[in-house]
Amino acid sequence: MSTTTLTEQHETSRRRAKRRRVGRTVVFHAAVWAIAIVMLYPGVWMLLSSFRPTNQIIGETGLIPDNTTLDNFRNALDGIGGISFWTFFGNSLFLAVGSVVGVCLSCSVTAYAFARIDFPGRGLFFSLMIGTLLLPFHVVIIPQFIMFNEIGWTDSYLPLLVGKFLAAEAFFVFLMVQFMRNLPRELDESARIDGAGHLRIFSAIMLPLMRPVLATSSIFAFIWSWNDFLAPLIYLRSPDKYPLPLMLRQFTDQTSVSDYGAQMAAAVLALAPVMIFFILFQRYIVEGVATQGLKG
Amino acid sequence: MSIRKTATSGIALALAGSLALTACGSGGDDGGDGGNVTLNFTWWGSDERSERYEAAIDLFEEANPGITVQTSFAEFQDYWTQRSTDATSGELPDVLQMDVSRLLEYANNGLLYDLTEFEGNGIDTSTIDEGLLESGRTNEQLVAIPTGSNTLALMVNPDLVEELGVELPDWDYTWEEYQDFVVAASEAGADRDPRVYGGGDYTMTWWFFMQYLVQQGIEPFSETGEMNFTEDDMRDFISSADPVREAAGGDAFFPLERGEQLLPKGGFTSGEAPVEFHWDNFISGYSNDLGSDNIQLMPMPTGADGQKHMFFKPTMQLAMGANTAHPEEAAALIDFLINDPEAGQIIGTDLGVPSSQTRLEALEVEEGSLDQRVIEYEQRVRDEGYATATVPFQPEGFGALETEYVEVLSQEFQYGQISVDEFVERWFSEASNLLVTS
Amino acid sequence: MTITHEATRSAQVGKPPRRPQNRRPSRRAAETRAGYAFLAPWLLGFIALTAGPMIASLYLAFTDFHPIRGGEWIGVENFTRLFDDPRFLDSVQVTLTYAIVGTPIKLAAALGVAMLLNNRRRGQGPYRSMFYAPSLIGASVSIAIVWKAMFNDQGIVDDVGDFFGTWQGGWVGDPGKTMPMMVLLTVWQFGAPMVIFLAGLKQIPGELYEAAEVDGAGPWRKFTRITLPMLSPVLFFNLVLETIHSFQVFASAFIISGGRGGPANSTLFYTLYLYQRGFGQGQLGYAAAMAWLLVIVVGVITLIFFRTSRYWVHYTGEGR
Repeated sequence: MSTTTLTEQHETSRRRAKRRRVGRTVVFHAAVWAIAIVMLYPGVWMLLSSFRPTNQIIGETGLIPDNTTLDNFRNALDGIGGISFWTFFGNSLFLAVGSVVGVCLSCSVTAYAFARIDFPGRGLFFSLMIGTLLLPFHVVIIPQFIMFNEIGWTDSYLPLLVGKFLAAEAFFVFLMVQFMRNLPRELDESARIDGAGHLRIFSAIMLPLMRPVLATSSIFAFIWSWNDFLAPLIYLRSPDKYPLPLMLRQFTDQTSVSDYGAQMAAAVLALAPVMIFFILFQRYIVEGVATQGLKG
Repeated sequence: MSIRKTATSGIALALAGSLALTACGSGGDDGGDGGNVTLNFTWWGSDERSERYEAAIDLFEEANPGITVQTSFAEFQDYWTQRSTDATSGELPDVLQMDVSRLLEYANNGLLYDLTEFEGNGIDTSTIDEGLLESGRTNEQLVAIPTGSNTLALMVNPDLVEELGVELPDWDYTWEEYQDFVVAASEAGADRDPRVYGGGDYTMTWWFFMQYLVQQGIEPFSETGEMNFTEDDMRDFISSADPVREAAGGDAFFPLERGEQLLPKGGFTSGEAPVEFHWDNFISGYSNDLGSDNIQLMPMPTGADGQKHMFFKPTMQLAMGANTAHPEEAAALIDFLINDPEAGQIIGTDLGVPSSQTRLEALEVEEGSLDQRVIEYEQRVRDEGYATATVPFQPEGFGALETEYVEVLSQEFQYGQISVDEFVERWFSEASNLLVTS
Repeated sequence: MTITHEATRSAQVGKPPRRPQNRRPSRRAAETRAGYAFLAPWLLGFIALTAGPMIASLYLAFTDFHPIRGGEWIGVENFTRLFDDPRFLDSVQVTLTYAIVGTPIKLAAALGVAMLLNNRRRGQGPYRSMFYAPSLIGASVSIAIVWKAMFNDQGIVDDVGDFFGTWQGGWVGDPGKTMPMMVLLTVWQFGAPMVIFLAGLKQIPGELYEAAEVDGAGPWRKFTRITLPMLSPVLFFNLVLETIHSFQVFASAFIISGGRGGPANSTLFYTLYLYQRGFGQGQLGYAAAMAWLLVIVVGVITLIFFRTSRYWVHYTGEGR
C-alpha cells in the first residue's frame, strides 16, 4: 500500500480493523470455550461426582453437588479384598518407573546403533523396526503368553517389563533415531579423531544431548504403562500385584449394587498422577505429539 | 580394545536392567516371611456373600495368627473367565469356590489339589453326607468339598404380587399356570413406572432346560460325556414359552434391554418383576439387593407326567489350586469354612443348606429368617416327594456349554437377532467344540 | 508424518552415512561389531518377542492348542470355523463400523478445531493442551468407567436426551446405541490428531493464502485448493495411525461391557473376542488364527493406503 494515505482515513480503517479483530476474538473464544466445555464435561463430572453421596450420582445433571462427602474416597482408599489402594498405586508406580528406565536405556542404545554406526544389515533391521510400529500387537500376545508361561514368568512383572528393556517399543527407538539424526555429526567425528570409542561417544556426547527426547519418551512411557490394561490382565494373577487399572476393573465388578461414588473416586485417584504429569509437562507432551506424532 | 569394551557394555547395559528386574520380580512372590503365610481365596457371588465370607475369614485369621487371607470375588460368569485365565498359566488361587459344572474341566487337567491326604486329618469330612461328598470325588481323588446343597425354586416377592393384584399360582402348579401368571402380572404392571413385568424368559436359562429334560425323562449327559438330548428337545423347550412371547402385545417377558440397564441387579431384585426362578440359596443375596426380607420360595412347576422331578445339587464346593505353596494352611481354611460352627452362623444358608451335619444342627435359625425359609423349603421339597431325580451328570465342558447358552445365544435371541432354529443350530455347533467326551 | 515418510523410504537408511575415506578393513569390522553390540538388546527383543512369537503364532493358528490340554495340527480348520462363526463375523462388523465411522469423524473434528485454533496467533497454547488431554486418558479404565456411568440409564446423557424429548433408558443396554457411544468416546479423543494437524497447518506458507485472496478465492476454495493438499501428508499420517489404533480398542470395550462385548455382541470388538476365545476359553489356536487374520487385514489396509497415497498425498519438496 502507498504511504501517502490520509492520516484520518488511515485512523478509521485501523479502528475498524481493530473492532473487527475484537469481534473475531470474541467469536473465537466463544466457539473454543463451547468446545472446551463439552470436552471437559466428562472429567469435571467425574471429579465432582466423586464428592457426591453415591445415590446422588446417577440422575443428577448439574455439576455442583448439593451435599459433598469424602466417603467415596474413603471407600476407594480401602481398596479391595483387604489390599489397600496404595498397594495398587505402588505397583503401578513400580511398573511405570521400570518402564521409563527400560525404555530410556534400551531405546537410546538401539537408536544410537541405527543413527550413528555403520554396519551391514542396518537398513534391513531399521525397516523391520519400522514394520513393528504398524504391527498389531495381538499377533504376538498369544505366543508370548505361552512362552512366558513356560518359563514361569506369569504372575510376575517380568513379562510386562522385559520388552521395555529390550527396546520392543519401536516408537521410542524411532523417536530417538529421528532426534539423533538432527544432531551435528561433527560432534562425534571430532571425538572419533580424538580416539573415543562408540561407548564413549554415546555416553559422554550423545546421552547428554538427548535429554529432551529422553524426557518426552519418559513421559509417554510412564503414561502408557500407567494406563496399560491388557498385559496386566493377561499376566497377573495375585491381587496384591495388580496395578491400578486391574484394581479398578475388580472394583467395578465387585460392587453388585453399583457404588458409583466409590468407582468415581477410585477413577479420579487413578487418573490423578497422569493429570498432574500432564499439567507439569504439557509443553513436552504436546510438543512431542506435534513434532513426532506420538499417540496419546 | 575399546571395541571389545563397547561390545560387552552394549549388552551389559540392557541386561543389567533386566537382571535388576528379575531380582525385584521374584522378590515379592510368597509374601511370607517369619512364618507368615498369605493365602489367596476367591469366590463368585454378591456383595452380601462377600460380607459373610469376610466376617468368617476375620474369625479364621484371629484363630490362626500366622495366616493372612487375601480375598477377591466376581460375578459368576466373570469369575470363570478369570479362573480360566488363571488355569492357562496353572496359577489357580490357593483356595477357590468351585462348581460341579466346571469341576471336571479343572480336575481332569490336574489343576486341583488332591485333598485325600487331609480327609479326617485337617479337613473333617465325616460330618458330610456321603452322597454330597461324592460330588467332589473324581479319578479316585477328592478334589473338592461341598459347602451345602440347594435346589431350584421360584422366588416370590409377595408384596409386589399383592400390589399388582394378581393371583399367585398354587404350590402345586404347572408350567402353563406359571405362564398365565407371567402374562397376567405383565399386563397388570404395564402402567407402572418403572414398568413391572411378570418375569424373565426362563427358557433362556440353562438349568431350567436341564430341569425340563429331566421332567421329560431324559438324562441330559451320560458319564462319558455323550449328549442324550436332541436339537428338537431344545427347540421344543424354547418354543414352549411362545404363548408368553406372543401375549400382551409381545411384551410379556421382562425385556433384556431393561435387564442390561439394571445390571448388576436384575428385574426381580429391582422390584420390577414379582417372581423369578433361581437356586434357593440365592434368597439372602436377593433379599439384600431387593432391600426386603419378604421373599418366599415355591417349588418348580410340574412336568407333563404330573411329577416335579426336582433334584438337589451340591451348591458349590471349595477346592485348592494344585499349585498352592501352602496346602496345610489352605486345607485349614476349607475345614474352617465348612465345619466351624461360628463361621456357619455367619454364612447361614448362603452357600446352600450346610453339608456338614454338625454345622446344620448347630445352626441357630431365627423363626421367620431367610435361613429358616430355605431349610424349611428344602425339607418340604423332600417331604412332599418332589425331589425324585438326581442332579444331571456334568461332563467336562458343561460350564462352557452353559455359558454359550445363557450368555451368548440367549442375548442374541432376546434381542431378536436370531430365531429359535438359529439358536439351536448354533448351540449344537459350539457344543461339538466345547464338550469333552471320554 | 515422519513415520510414513520413513516407512516408504526406510531403504534410504541403508545408505552408509557420510564418513572419512580410506578406512582400513579392521576398522570396518570393528564398526560392525560395535553396531551389533549396540543393537543387541533390540535384536534379542525382536527375535524373542516379535519375530519368534509371530512364527509361533502362525503355527498355532493351524492347531487346536489349549493351554492345559495341549493340541495338535488341524490344518485350516480354525480358519474355516472362523468364517462360520457368527460371533466372529459380528466382531469384524463391530470393529469395521467403528473404524470406518469413528476415524473420519474424529479426523474431521481434529481438523476443524485445528483450523479454528490456527487462525489465532496467540492464546492457542492453553486450548491446545486442554483439547489434547482426553487423548492421554481416553483409553484408560477410569474413563471407561466414567463413560459407562454417563451413558447408563438415568445417566447424564439420558438427561440431555430428556431435554430434547428423545433417548431414554440409557445407551449401555441398547445394542443400537452402544456403537455411537463408543464412537463418541473416540471422537472425544480428537486432541492427538488435532495437535498434529496444527503442526502441519503452521508449515503452510501464509503467502499461498494471500496470493489466493488476491485471486479472489473464498474460504472454501482456499480450504480445498491450499489447506487440504498442503496438509495431505499429515492427513495421511493421521489416517494410517488412527485406523490402526481403531483396530486395537480393548480396555474401554472390556470395561463398558464387563468383558462380554454385549449387549448382543454390539461391543464385541475384535480384540475382545480374541481375548475371550484365547484367554477366557483357552482356545489359543483359534485366537492365533484370528490374530494372523488381523495382521493380514491391517497389512492390506496399510498397503492400500500407501499405494493410493501418491494420488492424493502431496509432499512439498518432491515436486521441486
